Amino acid sequence: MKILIVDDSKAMRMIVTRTLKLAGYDGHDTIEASNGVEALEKIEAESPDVVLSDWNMPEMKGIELLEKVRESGNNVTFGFITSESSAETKTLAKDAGAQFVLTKPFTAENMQAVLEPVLA
Amino acid sequence: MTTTLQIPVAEEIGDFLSNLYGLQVSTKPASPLDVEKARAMADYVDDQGNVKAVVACDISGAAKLGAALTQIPVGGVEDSIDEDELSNSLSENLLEVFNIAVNVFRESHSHRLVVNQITLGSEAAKLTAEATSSAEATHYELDIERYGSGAISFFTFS
Repeated sequence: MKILIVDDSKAMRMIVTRTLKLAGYDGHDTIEASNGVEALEKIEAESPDVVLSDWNMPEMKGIELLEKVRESGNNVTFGFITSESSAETKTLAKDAGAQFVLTKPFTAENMQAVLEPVLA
Repeated sequence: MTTTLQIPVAEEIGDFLSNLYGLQVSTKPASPLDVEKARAMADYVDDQGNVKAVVACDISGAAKLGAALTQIPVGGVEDSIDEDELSNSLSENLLEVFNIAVNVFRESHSHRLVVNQITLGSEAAKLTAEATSSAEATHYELDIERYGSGAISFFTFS
């Protein structure tokens, strides 16, 4: 399985990668993008199975990225990993086609809880 | 009716940071932060742009909060503390910690707080003093596994 991690913070991309391993997903390939524009290119080029995206990013926000992905007919599993925790954010995310929203900070158990149902 | 955000208790902050870092973090009440020594400060605003919370740290707290995020070696932390200035990597990490820290305020989920401005360096001292003169404050000492202790203060506004 190929997982695309999208976050403008290199530190957060490292933490997501680390937590995926702790959650038992260490056998999978991870690729990275630092914003929505770069992520679109990676999705086109590498066809990831899962996209884990931050919400607030320069160039293109996570919600815009998701909207463009869905507009193109791509139903890739897409989840947000974000410090945005409001009910409004979660509703926007789900309405746009995200499978889950994981709030920072998160544990390996939190990661498992959101990924297992969508990867089963 | 406007409400004041609740300042998180020591255990909540320790648990929050432990989850973030994957390291043990303990927190205990401490004497007030000398704002002259604040070297990092973040303010959080509501939907109307009103400042509802401020978080400030001394150089030791700032350096260690940043270092723990990606486990930057202790030597780099000590250098920053000795020089009273955060390195680029510590600064970058601390920005992310402050961003995530919006969720340490329990009511942030309904208040929809967002981080507004983050100030690093000696300028943080002046801004902290100006921003927090009428705030409710709680001061803590953090102890982060591998890195040791530093000061962090929380200020909230009605």
